[in-house]
Amino acid sequence: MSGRIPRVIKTKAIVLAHRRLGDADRIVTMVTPQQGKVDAVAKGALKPKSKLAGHVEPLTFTEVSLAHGRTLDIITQAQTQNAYLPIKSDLQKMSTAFYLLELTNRFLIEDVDARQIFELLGSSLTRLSDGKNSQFVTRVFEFSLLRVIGIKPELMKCVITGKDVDAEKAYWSMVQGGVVHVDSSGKTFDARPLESRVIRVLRAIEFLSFEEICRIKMDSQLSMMLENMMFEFIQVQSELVIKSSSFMGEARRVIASSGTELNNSSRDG
Amino acid sequence: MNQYERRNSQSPITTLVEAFNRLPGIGPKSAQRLAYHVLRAPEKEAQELANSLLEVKRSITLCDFCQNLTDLNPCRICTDSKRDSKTICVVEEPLDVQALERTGSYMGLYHVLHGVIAPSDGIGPSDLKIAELLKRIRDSEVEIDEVIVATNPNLEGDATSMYLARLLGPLGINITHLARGLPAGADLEYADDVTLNRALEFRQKVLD
Repeated sequence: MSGRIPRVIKTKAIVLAHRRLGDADRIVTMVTPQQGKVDAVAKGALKPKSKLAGHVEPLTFTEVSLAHGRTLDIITQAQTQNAYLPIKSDLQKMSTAFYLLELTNRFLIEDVDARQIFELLGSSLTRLSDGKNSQFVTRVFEFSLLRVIGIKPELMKCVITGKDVDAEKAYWSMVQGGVVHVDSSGKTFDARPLESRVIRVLRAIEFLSFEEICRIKMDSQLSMMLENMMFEFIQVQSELVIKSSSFMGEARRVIASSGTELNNSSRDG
Repeated sequence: MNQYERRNSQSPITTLVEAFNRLPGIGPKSAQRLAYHVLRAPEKEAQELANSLLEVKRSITLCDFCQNLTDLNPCRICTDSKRDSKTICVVEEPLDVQALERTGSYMGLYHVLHGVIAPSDGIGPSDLKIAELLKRIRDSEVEIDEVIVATNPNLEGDATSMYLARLLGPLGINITHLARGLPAGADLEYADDVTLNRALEFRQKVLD
């Protein structure tokens, strides 16, 4: 009687998270183009001399060989393709990256083709690494991810009546999932007036290229309004609490209170 | 039958096996082996085990200064006058203190965070002993010269390290972290980009 033949596959992956398994191993959670979300064991990854550990750290674009295991796949080899070093040496970028990784991890499911999400995450991390505005990178990522999973906000037509909504007179409903015409604002309990500049920026994010979006002038107040709005939208629509969202604000606060420049002798990393 | 009734109706051996099984890294087979070892051991040994478990819970607390686990408060390290009180080494867990103490080469004080910033797990700065670190630095009778951040060299450890640097930087303290690079016995061919990059960045003059 022949046993199950181990299957080894090679795939590109972006590592989203890891957790301990026993004394020496880690379970690594990755997004791959074909297999979607994959949990695999990195044996010995907790040991100092591990050949695998650095190549399967979260926030690493890597190429892995996966051997089929009884319950979990086993990582037999890994080679870093992009370690996103500029992100790992910047607290604000890192806090943004944590958020992008968690969003991907929470919305992905196993064994589902995830090419779009894989490309989206890869391009967003590359933009962050290249120094693009982290607010725009995040908003574009959120919008694109919500579009892929089918819960993007409706920005053009009233979610109740289907009528075109004028940006100057728009209302917003988190529960209904988008803009509400002023005439229908009484038909949903959570409709609230929306500043026209907010809806204009969101529409730009939906329809313009990333380069065009980066040319938008956005002050910190508008930035925060958009951020809070998207955090709330994702939470209401998905019923998930994205835990890393609060750390972005904390990182911002500590950077602001420390000043933008650190003394060289006290600079970390 | 509820849990209380079930526990009362099952044998003490089963109860003991379940208790061992709850410990981290102890599976059902290991739990059984441990339970049967206790059963076969002299009563004195079992009594000592039971007493030491209770004693640890009763007598171990967190040091008021460094937040390390201790039976004396302040702990022996914080009250040792031979130690360098101007240097604080910040670590993630009490076991890290033990690891550094084993080297015999660090003579400063410690501060234990009891964790690391892990945003995806919902662990932020307020969940760690960071406020206590800030307070002890501000209230310190001696001026703190250096804070060595000895968090693990991974994403969460680095995030914690950078956060602390931003938080403590304005106090005019020298913030450093442990050297990063290739571990002894490692093979350059298999090293990842981050490790190699840091090994190059923090390279040292060759001494002969």
